[in-house]
Amino acid sequence: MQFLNPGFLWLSVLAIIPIALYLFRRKSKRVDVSTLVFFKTLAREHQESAWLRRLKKVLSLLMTLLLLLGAIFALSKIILSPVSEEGYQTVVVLLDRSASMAATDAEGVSRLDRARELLEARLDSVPEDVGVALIGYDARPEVIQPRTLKRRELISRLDEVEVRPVAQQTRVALESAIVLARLETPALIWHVTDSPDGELKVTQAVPTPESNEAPEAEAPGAEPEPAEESKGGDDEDVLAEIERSLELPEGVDLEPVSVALEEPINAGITAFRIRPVPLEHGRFEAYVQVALNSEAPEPTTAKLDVFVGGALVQPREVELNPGDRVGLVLKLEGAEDQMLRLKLSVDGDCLASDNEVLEPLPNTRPIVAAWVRPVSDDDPFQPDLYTQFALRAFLDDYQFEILALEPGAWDGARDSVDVAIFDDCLPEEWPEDLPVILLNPPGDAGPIRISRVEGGVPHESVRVANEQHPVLFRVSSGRVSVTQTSVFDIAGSLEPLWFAGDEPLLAAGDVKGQRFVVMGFSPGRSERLPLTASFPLLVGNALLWCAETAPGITEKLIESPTGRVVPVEGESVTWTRWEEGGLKKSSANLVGGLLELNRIGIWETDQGQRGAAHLLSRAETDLRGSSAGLSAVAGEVVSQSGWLSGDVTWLLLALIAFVLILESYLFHRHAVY
Amino acid sequence: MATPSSRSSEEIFDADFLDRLRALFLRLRKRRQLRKKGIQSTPATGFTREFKDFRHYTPNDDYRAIDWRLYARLERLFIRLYEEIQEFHIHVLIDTSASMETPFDDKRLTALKLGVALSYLGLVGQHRVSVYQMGERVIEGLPPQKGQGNIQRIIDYAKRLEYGGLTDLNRCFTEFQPSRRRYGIFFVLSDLYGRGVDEAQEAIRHASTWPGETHFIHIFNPWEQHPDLDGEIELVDVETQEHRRLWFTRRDRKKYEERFELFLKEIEHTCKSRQIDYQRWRTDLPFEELFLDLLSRGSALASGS
Repeated sequence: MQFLNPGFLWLSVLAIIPIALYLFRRKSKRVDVSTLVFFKTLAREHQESAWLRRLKKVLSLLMTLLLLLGAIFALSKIILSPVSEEGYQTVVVLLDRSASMAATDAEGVSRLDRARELLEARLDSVPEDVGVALIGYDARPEVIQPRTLKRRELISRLDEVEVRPVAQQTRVALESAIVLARLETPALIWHVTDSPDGELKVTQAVPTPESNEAPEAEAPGAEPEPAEESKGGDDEDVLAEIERSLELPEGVDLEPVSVALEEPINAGITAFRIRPVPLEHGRFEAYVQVALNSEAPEPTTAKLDVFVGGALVQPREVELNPGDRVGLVLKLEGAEDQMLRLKLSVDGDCLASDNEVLEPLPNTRPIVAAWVRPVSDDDPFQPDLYTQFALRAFLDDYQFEILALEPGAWDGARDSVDVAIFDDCLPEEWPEDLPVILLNPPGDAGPIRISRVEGGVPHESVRVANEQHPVLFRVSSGRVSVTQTSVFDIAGSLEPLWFAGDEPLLAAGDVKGQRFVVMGFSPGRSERLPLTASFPLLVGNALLWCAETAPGITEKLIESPTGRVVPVEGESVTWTRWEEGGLKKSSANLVGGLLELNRIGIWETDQGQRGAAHLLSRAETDLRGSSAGLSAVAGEVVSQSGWLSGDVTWLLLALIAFVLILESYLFHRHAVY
Repeated sequence: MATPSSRSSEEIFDADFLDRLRALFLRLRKRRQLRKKGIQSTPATGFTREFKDFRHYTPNDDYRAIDWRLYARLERLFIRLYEEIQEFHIHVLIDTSASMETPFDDKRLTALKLGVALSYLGLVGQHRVSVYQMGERVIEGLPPQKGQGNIQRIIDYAKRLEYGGLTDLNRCFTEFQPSRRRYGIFFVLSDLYGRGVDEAQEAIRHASTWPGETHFIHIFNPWEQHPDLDGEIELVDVETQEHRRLWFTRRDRKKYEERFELFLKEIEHTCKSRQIDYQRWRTDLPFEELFLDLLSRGSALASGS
């Protein structure tokens, strides 16, 4: 026997009142009268024997106490133990609230709403003495309602559950459910999910935010890659491994409850990354992967609209077969803080949360480059005007600030530059923390051993070692002729790009984390190099390539899939999302320096940290249909109980009514008023 | 129930009471004198002449009234004055059933006081007075008394009266049938509680055949008219020892009072229809006032002598 509201049991002290009234009742007063003839004319009289009278009083007291007890038990919601020993003591409802549960059917009912209907119907058949717990899960499980006998409270908490645009992690959730179920066995776990048969889903690995490589990065201008097969052999092995390893302990049973749609159609964006275009400062490339769920009934054409700053800049169409994943590269240009929005649409799409991506174009600042060159009235190559012209050639196209400095001014400017160009000179103190371009170096430069070649050695042509290197991007190496002025030893450190004979003329690479581009020739003395378009390109490529590693030039947006927790600084965060045709903002406080990415959109802290969170989940996009024959109707009664078990409030109320009527009839039908 | 021995004559018939009786009598006589002058003969039988006084003879006087012995002594003519007195038989029936004593002893006291007062009045008026006790039957415990000096005997008798038993009005009034030789005035001092509500009415009809003037003095306590009861009570009839359990409410009280008032009115109506004088005598009201009122209601006792 249990009481759902034991707080009312204290009312039992009220039993003192009828007992006291009985014990200290006023005895009937004996009055001698001269004659009874007038009293006999009154309507009521009590002609009872003494023992019957006493019996009636005791009976009245007992009935009053019974009435009081019944009312107290009804208020306390007494639950009688089941007559039968069989049945579960606990039901743990494990409710999937991941992104895919927002999928709607033709009537607009989401999977979560459907799950709620099912659960409420099922809970009606669960006896009152069976405790029910509720766990909601997406990336992490959350105990929404610990084991309780209060059904109304549970349903109230169930109604508050909302879908979160986060990919699910089923295994962790099942483990949590098992832990909860084991507290009071025998227990049953209802795994309510849109996965058919409640099977576990395997979510894809989450890419790290520091990586600049998109998972399936394509070279600029490449054609979209062909569709991939969904769920290859490796995934199946992992799934089987998880299912094998998840064992239910004794006394705990698992019942999957599927609320999956029958024939879902869903296309979604499963991968996205934006990056600056190499060697094109201010331009961006976005990689987008779109996929169609494997159980879509037929191939479909997906429309991908690209909006920058609210304007449609690229409408694209993608043909998708069921199970296809197609990657696209989008070239983008835009101003600072302009929003990039991708919208994917497919006829009959039942899940909207994986159809959009919203991200601001990364902010870039001008690259500050210091052109350090000696100036001499005697030497016409100091400064080298060809170098100056080359730098000026792309000044307008790209965001650069060029500081023309004499060597003496270098020390004062070194902290404010991103790239240093030493043209025919070297600093006294080598800047190890800056990328460096060495033009016509006169001697050793930091870790690079360099010797000047007096007089210079002309070369009609150069031999290209690596045409694909970014420094040689669009440079027509076959048409240049240079005058070599330096010889340098780059063994094991830099990559030679141009050779003259066996001597490297142009090299680039990283030495102990510092980027180098070394040009061992003098542009002014070279015949066909400075006057061609290749020289400005060469210089520009070298600058951009070196500036790639310079910190702070391009804003590093923290891109993460939803469900992750990222460390942040600040006290509040503002979320921006696309809703109802416009951008909507909302704020929240930050607690503990952590931000849970539980919604889709752009976030920004009050300290200026920015990031974007998207669903980007293959598993959530690949909606599966429900298996034929799987019933989503209300489950069977969990445990068998007799009629005098469970919640007997109705019985108590009937008893109270009966006792009231009986007592009124027996003792108060002659009541006076 | 108090026994006669436990009562002191002082509580009923103390000297003060007797003085008040005498004063009452004088007041009454004065009232009579104011109303009529001289000796009046009455149509009632059984009157006597009693010497009253001497007066000088005047030529208009009856010569037969001359007292010659006094003339022999004083050599003057005096006539003898006589007072003609009508002689009644005063019957005083005192209810001595249990209900007259318990639970309200003042009913007993009132009845005894009244009985003694009426007896005194009768004795002073040279009437014969018979006092009876009435319960299940009428018992003449004392032979008729005459003369003022016999008042003590009546008092002693009254003191010795024992109370208790039932009241059988029908039997009492049926069996009590004095002859016409005992024509007089009948005073019934009772609470008139019979075995049924209507028994008193039935019984009174028998009283109408009594030879003479009949007065019913209905003695009751104010509580009996307005019972102060509430809640669950167990009533016990002091005469029959019958028990009744009731839950008495205001509504019941109202019904009771109405029934009691009806009882009084029915008796009054019955008395009136039988030319029987009826007077309610509530024990909380002043004795003298009620007594004078009784006598001023045209009683022969009050107007004769």
